[in-house]
Amino acid sequence: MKEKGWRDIPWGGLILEEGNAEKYKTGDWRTHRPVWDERKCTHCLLCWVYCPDSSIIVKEEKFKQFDYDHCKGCGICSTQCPTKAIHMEEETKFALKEGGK
Amino acid sequence: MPSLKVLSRKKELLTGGHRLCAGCGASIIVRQVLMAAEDPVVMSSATGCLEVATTIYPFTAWRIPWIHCAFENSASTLSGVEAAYRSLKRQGKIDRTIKFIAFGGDGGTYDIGLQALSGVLERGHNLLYICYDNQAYMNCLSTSSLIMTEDGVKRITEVKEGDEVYAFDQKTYQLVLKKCIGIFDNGIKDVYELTTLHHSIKATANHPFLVLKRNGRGKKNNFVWQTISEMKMGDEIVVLKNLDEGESFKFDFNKVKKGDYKVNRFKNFLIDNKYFEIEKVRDIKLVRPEPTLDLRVEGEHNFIADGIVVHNTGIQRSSATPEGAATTTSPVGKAIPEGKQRPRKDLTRIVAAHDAPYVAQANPAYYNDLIKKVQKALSTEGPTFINVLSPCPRGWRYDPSLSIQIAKLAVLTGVWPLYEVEKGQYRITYRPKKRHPLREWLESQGRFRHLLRDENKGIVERLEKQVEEKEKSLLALAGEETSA
Amino acid sequence: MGKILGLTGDEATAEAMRQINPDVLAAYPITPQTETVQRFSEFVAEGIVATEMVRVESEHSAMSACLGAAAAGARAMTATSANGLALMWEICYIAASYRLPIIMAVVNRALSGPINIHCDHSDSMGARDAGWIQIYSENCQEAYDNLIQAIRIAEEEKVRLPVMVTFDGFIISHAMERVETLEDDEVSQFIGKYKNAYSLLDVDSPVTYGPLDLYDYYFEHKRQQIEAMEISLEVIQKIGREFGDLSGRYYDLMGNCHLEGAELVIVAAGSTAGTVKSVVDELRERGEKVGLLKMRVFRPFPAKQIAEVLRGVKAVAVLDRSVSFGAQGGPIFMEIRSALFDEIKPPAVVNYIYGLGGRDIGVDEIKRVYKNLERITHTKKVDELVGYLGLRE
Repeated sequence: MKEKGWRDIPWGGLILEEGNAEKYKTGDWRTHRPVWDERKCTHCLLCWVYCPDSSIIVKEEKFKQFDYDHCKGCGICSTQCPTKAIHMEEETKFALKEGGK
Repeated sequence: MPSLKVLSRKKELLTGGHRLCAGCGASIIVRQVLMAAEDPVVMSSATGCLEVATTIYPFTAWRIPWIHCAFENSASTLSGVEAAYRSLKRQGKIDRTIKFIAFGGDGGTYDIGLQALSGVLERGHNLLYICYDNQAYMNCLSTSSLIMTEDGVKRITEVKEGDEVYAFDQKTYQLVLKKCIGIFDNGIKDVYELTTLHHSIKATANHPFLVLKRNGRGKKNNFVWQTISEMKMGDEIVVLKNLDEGESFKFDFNKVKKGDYKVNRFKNFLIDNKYFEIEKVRDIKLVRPEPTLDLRVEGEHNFIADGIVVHNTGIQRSSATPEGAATTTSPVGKAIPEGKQRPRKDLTRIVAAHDAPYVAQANPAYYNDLIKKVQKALSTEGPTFINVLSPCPRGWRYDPSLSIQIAKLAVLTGVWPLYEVEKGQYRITYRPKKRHPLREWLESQGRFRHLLRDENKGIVERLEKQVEEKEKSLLALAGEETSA
Repeated sequence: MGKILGLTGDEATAEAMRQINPDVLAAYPITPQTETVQRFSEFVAEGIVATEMVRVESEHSAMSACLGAAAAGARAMTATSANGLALMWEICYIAASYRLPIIMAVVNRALSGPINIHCDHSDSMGARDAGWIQIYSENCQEAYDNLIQAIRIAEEEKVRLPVMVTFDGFIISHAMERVETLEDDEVSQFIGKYKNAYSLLDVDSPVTYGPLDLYDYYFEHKRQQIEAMEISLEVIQKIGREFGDLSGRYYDLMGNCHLEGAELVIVAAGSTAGTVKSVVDELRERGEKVGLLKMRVFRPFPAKQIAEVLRGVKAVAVLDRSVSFGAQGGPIFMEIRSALFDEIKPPAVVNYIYGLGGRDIGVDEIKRVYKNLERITHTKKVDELVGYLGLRE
């Protein structure tokens, strides 16, 4: 991303676009990623209330998916899930599958 | 309190993409607080982990109006916003209901921000102040650095205290094994990438490297520690020979002969040194801001990271740091075995003494309790305050996946009682059936590890007593009986 | 037209504030500003202003609250002196960087230590790099007029910088003078309504104020501030003309000068300019070619305009009521010297530090300065670049 000059950015250091940090993908921080076991999930949403990175996507009051673009792999969701429906797997497995870095 | 399912329908007001550490308590707290708010919120934040990591220009993770001014004035800045709101409302220029929430870390609240908070409480502004207390000023190496340990090359994030790590003995120019005595989080910093012929390492501007200083013909050369900001291309630094990523290392130690110390312009200074050589810095470039860590090693003040010899150099005590915790400005040593010597300030009680209409202590592991308290505070007229324990994986030294578990332990061991003070009336909102022994809390985190040594038993007993005393006094205020 | 009142500087300030009727006023008392805040509190108590007054617990919080209020789309004002301004120093820089049009009256008083409550310009001079527009007033009338103009200057779209209006502590703040005030509605009409494009209270379009700038953006943000300062030169002149059309009192970048045919000029800011003027009148009667350049706007520094008006002058003495320790002279002196550097035939420029900590300066000292300037012109030699007036050796 080419950086803008002083004439092209808002004055005062203001950031006018709400929540644009979403564009910054912290998913590549991960060494492990959470994996969901649909059969064990009771949709209690504890993972959602404890996620530091807003990376549990809930739709219609049910667990939908992880936001792997932003999930840092902290593992809190896995530790807190009461039915062990989330376990952590090494990221390298998926990196290779997804065309790897 | 609405159920999690109902709360889940609300729009996420803190996006992903902020750069707080994995497992950070602060963002868990922010999310829960914003879940609890029913009206639009305007937020202020003191300088600190939360503020820095969520608003790195040009990115902001906030979906609400948000202002950061300085370190010590989250309260007073927001009091100006609230005053403006009141004024404009009175003049009929605005008619929406808006709530005001000021955030501050323990640094920006207990210490430098105490005056501003006290002023706001006395003046009676209609705002909620939330302190996310991670019990120190939290703030080297980029987290992707590879460290040479006895068990092979590991990512710095995988190195644990007690692991044996390779270091460079400056007197004998040998490779030695030293015990890692801690990993410290240095926060988000600009990270530079330094490359030589065979190696590259990412580090912060102030990270020292062992650089060869040539003192001229006939004179003996010497090594000096220099930081990236002092270095330039062409500088010669000490590097490890033949680093093979992923391979396990087995070293025989080779003594460097006296003749090897001579100056030689055309060959390596360390002639025939089996493990080290000098390489020229080919490039130093700025990569981007990243979370950084610092590794501390016993005895020697350097260790090998990414094949380059780097220096030790984050996590300073605040008045919220508990007695007995090790921090970088209250480290454990022979003269001071306990780390921080003074007990922490009981800020919640100080705020309650201001006769604020609603004051509480909360914990993100007990989200029901926290959300209820936030809702109570927001619907109370006048200045309200909630002190929330914010577990910090880097500063407290534990695995990030355990943040909520450890937060729970704080309540179960009595270290962080959950209570509220409503118009002067104390009420304990959650009490474990039986208080767990303090030892459980101490065992869970690296910052207390030194207390588990036999010789420090007395300190632990004293700390356990402190918890007891606090509990008693709190129960008395709440008009409850002490448990047997 | 409004009334003619006998007002002290503090009272004139309070009166201007009453007519401006800011949404928020956050202030902390400090001598010699206290009367302003006290008088204004009375207005608040009587309910004759709409202002929400925040009686903060320190000046640091005063500026923080003003900053928050301005970011929330409200008109915010405050007043302070000396160490109060010093305590606000950190936030002053931030307020300017967030481009918030906060108006502050600075009642010039010496910075401690040792503690001194009397007049000198060390406080506002100490803050000259903070990014605020700085306007010096000679007397109570100017204090009143400048505050009203300040609102328009600060809020101008392309400027958006905070403004501090100064006047001398005790000498002006506590001395009653004849002040012509405008009608209440004349002031309201002149200042118009404050519109902040990006208000925190606009919850439907959330903005973030005060992000972390790394090395990749900070410089650009500062360059924007530099640009705004440049643009403000013109704006200050424009507002000065508009104000003149309204009140009959016209203002420009420099104060009303008396430079016609002058060969020996004294530059001064604040009440001392008035003292110099009375000497100029006296000496001119005797046919001496003397003049006064009254500093009004110090930031942005009107270098071009000053170089123009001093063209053809033979010798200049710059009076500084503050010190920059370790520098080659006082702040005004250094800026003027720099402004004249490119002139083909610049005048000799010397500096006099005077009046520190409220040390009085009288007509005799001023006459001596002119005498010295005369000697410099004849001998073409400067013996002492920086001298002191009223100091006991």
